[in-house]
Formats: sequence, C-alpha cells, structure tokens
Amino acid sequence: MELVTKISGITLRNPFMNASGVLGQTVSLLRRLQEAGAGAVVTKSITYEERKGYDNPTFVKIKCGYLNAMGLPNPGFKEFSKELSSSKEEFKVPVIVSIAPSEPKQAKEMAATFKKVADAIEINLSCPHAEKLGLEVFSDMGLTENIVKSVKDNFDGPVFCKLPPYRNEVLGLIKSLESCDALVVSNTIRAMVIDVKAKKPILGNKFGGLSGRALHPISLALVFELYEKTRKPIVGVGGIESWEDAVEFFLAGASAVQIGSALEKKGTTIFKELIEGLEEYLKEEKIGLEELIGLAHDS
Amino acid sequence: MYLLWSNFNLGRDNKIYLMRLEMSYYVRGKLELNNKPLDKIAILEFDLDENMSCKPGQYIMAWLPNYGEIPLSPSICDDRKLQLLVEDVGATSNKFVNLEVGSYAYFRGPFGNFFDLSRGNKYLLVAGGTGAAPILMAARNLSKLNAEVITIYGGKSRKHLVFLEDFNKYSKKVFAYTEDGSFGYSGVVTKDLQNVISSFLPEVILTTGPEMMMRKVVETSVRNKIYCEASIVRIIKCASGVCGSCVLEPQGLLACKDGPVFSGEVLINSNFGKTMRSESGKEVEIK
Ligand SMILES: Cc1cc2nc3c(=O)[nH]c(=O)nc-3n(C[C@H](O)[C@H](O)[C@H](O)COP(=O)(O)OP(=O)(O)OC[C@H]3O[C@@H](n4cnc5c(N)ncnc54)[C@H](O)[C@@H]3O)c2cc1C
Ligand SMILES: Cc1cc2nc3c(=O)[nH]c(=O)nc-3n(C[C@H](O)[C@H](O)[C@H](O)COP(=O)(O)O)c2cc1C
Ligand code: FES
Repeated sequence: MELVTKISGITLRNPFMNASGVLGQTVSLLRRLQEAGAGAVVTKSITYEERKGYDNPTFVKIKCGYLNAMGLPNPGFKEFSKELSSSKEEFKVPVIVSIAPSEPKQAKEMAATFKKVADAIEINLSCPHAEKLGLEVFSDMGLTENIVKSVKDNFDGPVFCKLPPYRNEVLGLIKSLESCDALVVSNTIRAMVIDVKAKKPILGNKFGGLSGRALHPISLALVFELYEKTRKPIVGVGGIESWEDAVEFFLAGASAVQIGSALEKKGTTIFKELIEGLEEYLKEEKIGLEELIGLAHDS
Repeated sequence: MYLLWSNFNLGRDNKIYLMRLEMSYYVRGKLELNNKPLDKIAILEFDLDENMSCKPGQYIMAWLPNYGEIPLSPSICDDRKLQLLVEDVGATSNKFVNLEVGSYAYFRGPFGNFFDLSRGNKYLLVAGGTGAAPILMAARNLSKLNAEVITIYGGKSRKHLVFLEDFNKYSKKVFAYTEDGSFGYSGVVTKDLQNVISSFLPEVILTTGPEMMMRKVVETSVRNKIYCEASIVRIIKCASGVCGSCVLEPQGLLACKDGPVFSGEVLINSNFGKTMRSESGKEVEIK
C-alpha cells in the first residue's frame, strides 16, 4: 500500500518521523534515522545561544513512561546550521529543523539562517522545563504570535508549531497560532519522580517532562479535538510504540506521527516495524492512508 | 507487566526484580572503604542494599543527590559489592573521590555492552591510568576461564598503578610502565606494544585508558590483524540511546547503548581519537 503522506506542501515517503530531541542532535544521527526508514527527520530543538543542558540525571524510565530534563542542550543555531549545510545533499527525506526562540528577533534570524537547509521549521512552544523558552513563551499570547509571524515572514517552507498537551491552555491560545501551517501535538507533561531511599527528586533539574505510554491517550484526545477546532494539518506525537498506537493518531486526525521514547525500547528498527504494520493494516482494511486520516470523527 | 505484578502479592524480592526490569531503579550503596593513593584518585568500595551484577566493560550510572550522576565502569560489581576507581576531573567525580566512609551513593544499571571474553584463549590487556577498572574485571574473569593473559599497565608514576598487585594475580605476566620512570619500564604504555604483540601473538587485545593511547593500541592491532576491543568515553547523559550526546561518528553509533565497547574495525573508521561532542553537542577536538 502507498504510505506517502503530505503535510502543508511537503511530501513524506511514509508518515513516520522521529520526535525532536530524540536522535536528531547531529547529521550522523539524522542520517541513521533516514537509513532506518523514517519518512522525515527532525532535529533537536536549536536555540539562539549554545546550551549545555541540565546536570545528570537527565533521563529516567518510570513505570508508565519516561521523564527527561535534558535542558535543551545544543550547540546554538550558528554552529548547527553550519553542520547541516555541509551535508544537506545527503538527505533524500525532508529535514525539519526544530527551533526554540525566546523572542521574535531570534526567531527571525534563525528562520533566515535555516532557510537554505530546512524543508520545514518546527517551533518548540512547549518544552515544559526551560526558562524563557518553550512553554514559557507559549504562555504569552502576544509573544507567541510575534514569534510565529517572524518565522513565517523569514522562511519559505511550511512552519509547524509544537504544542504542549494541556488542553485548556492550547484552546485558549490557539488564536496566536493563526499564521502557522501545521500543529505538532504534543510535547511532554511537566512531571517529577522521587527516589524513596535518597528521598530526593531524581532529575538534576528536579522537574522534567513525561513522555511515553502515559502520554499517548492525552495527546490523542488533544489531536482529536484540534482536528475539529482548526483546519490545520496535525502531526501526532506521544507514546507511539506500535503501529496500532500510530493508527489511533491517524484516525483521530493526524496526517503524520513522530516517535520519541520508543526509540529507547526498540531502537531505530521501530521504523521498519511501523511501516510494515501500517501497510498490512491498510491492506487488510482495504483503505488508503489518506482516507484513514480523521476517520474516527462523525461525518 | 506492571499490571501483573502490582495486582498480586509477589513478595518483596520478586517485586523488586520486576521493578528493576521496567524502570530506572537505584540501588543504594554505603561506602565501606575509600583508599586514596593520590589526592585525585580513589578506590571506593560500596556495600549495596541489593545485588547488582556487571560484566567487564559495562558501566553503571553513579548518583550523588544534589551533585550529579556520572558513568563509571566498575572493577568489581558482583552480588552486593561494588568497587570503583574514580579520578577527580570535575564537580561530581570530585565528590566521589572525597566521599566519607559511611556515606551513601545510588547506582543504576548496568548499561551498555561488554568485552568479548570468548574469542580465543590468548588475551593481551592494555590498561592506562584510571581506565584500568574494567580491564581488571576482564582479567579476573579471563583467569577464571583459564585464558592466558598478558597485561601491559601504565600510569604517570608507581602510585598511579593502583591495581598492580591485582593484575599480577590474574596475568601470566605484567609489563608495567611509568611516565616518570619510578617503576617498571620508563615511558608510555604503547612504547613496546609492537614487540609484545610479536612475541606473545595474542588472539585478542582489550584496552581502556586515555583516548589517544587507545587509538594507538587500536591502530597497532588492526595493522597486526588482531581482533581488538576498546571501551570508549563519551559524554553520557540519558544512558539509553535517545539524547544523542554520546555519538560516535560518522556511523551515528551511541556509546551508551551500542557501546561503550567497540571493535577496532569500527573505531578505526570513526572519529575516535580525533573529535567528540561536548555537553552542548558541539564538535570538539580530542587532545
Ligand atoms: C562508559 C564510561 C565509563 C567510565 N568509567 C570511569 C571510571 O571507571 N573511572 C573514572 O574515573 N571515570 C570514568 N569515566 C569518566 C567519568 O564518567 C567522567 O570523568 C565524569 O563523568 C566526569 O564528571 P564530573 O562531573 O566529575 O566532571 P565535569 O566537570 O562535568 O567534566 C570534566 C570532564 O569529564 C568529562 N565528562 C563530563 N561529564 C561526563 C559524562 N556524563 N560522561 C562522560 N564523560 C564526562 C568531560 O570530558 C569533561 O570535560 C567513564 C566514562 C564512561 C563514558
Ligand atoms: C530525551 C528527550 C528529549 C527531548 N527533546 C525535545 C526537544 O528538544 N524539543 C522538543 O520539541 N521536544 C523534545 N522532546 C519531546 C519529544 O519530541 C516528544 O514530544 C515527547 O517525548 C512525546 O513523544 P514520545 O512519547 O514518543 O516520546 C524530547 C523528549 C525526550 C524523551
Ligand atoms: S547518552 Fe544519550 S544517547 Fe547516549
């Protein structure tokens, strides 16, 4: 079966890509994802300045998923764009550059710099544990609107906005996203884990973001709701570990999906597994991927 | 799995066993001994609350709440005993080196792959400085397997050769090197490597130590067509193969999960000994 999907003008050979921050730190890793079969590759969220990230522990597995507080480590947009420019020809699949600007001026400069190397830009408006970045930007409607506009005005390709999983905030602020082309739903939920013998929060930053299995039904519900409330294409993210998890997102209205934490459990072979599982399902159900998208909605 | 064990009364030990399979589970250790032959180097011995077991080359994540968590390859990690060799190079390792007896630390793991001890019967081990810990565990296990072991062990001075007696116990012969000439042969570990290879004709070479030293060992092994493995150091953050911080390039291999042990063939075609990623992911040169 044909797995090709389209989002805001870019064509993917299949609807599976990695989630930002998971194996997208370097060109060598993006290449590995492409070779593993990903339909598009997404970079780590890149900030204006270089960031070392938070102290370890930064990633822990819990019973219902994972917590991370990496703290957006990245070499800064100038360094990263240099690396990407020198190897852009190696990519046969779309490269989506995730950026986490904290104000419109940064957004403008970053968008202009990534113009030549990015097929799409994903704006991280949702990292739950970084000061003046991600979610802290999103909580300011005017600021978000200006950032999205600055990226849009300085970049030719589609602009995606990556949202937090918090329904009320998202619905309240959705107007500020008018100028973006597609929504990526969702990022992690602010969360904590405490070690009972050490009697302290485990993460170096104390707070982190919950991803994995527990996030799946939460992101799914938001995708479902946003599909009805906006006309924008949606990329579903959250706890996808199998093709069934992904199909739920397509039925709820996502045109493509991203895989994060499951790469811990299954490694990059998960892409092959998802592709084969989806192909089989579409064949058995005698349905095309395009028809599947949003099918869970009445009428 | 979670539903299964949480719904039944399995008893404490079984419950802990299952928890350790599905979540990051820290085992508490009480420091029993801190042997500091030098200001910046310590051999630490912990008594663990629960059993932990590590193969040679694997690493554990060692956590001191409020300070940080670092990857360390134990020299002993068996049952409830954990022995670590730690060098003070920064904030968290400094805390470990100066940890007082009776204090607690927390450990999770083991992580990563391990040395292949079943590739032959003649092993040459090459250990440099504080990299010696996993090589010592390999030597001990190889001697249990009745393999023939020759060790080349080097450090700055005699005091840096903290595991010399242990290596003597598990090796047929130990060639010791000190940079200041205070003991054994004077010079670096790799000085007479080619001669030792030519006379001993090992089937396998295992190495840990400073990266430039390991690069030399790897190059020499590959040149001599001898299978070789090295345990490499990269910045470990997630220890789970997701964050990308420990990448070996251009292959995009992850030292935390695909490694930390890699074969000479893989390393010789990588940036090993040339560049690595800093904590921010910036490419930096290895000195
Ligand atoms: C698989 C593996 C096994 C190791 N085994 C041992 C061992 O047995 N004994 C020992 O003394 N050291 C070992 N190390 C190195 C040890 O982890 C680092 O020295 C330690 O993390 C430094 O942390 P810090 O906070 O003290 O120093 P920092 O001030 O944070 O950094 C000092 C330097 O240490 C290195 N470093 C920092 N953070 C890390 C990190 N998370 N992972 C790896 N390197 C880092 C960097 O090169 C940095 O420049 C091992 C490393 C790895 C990857
Ligand atoms: C280790 C790690 C790092 C992450 N870094 C980023 C990031 O830089 N930018 C971002 O937008 N999301 C980041 N995320 C969130 C993921 O992109 C994704 O939204 C989230 O993990 C949910 O998907 P999952 O359940 O499949 O992991 C990160 C997640 C993890 C686990
Ligand atoms: S430390 Fe995160 S991928 Fe290896």
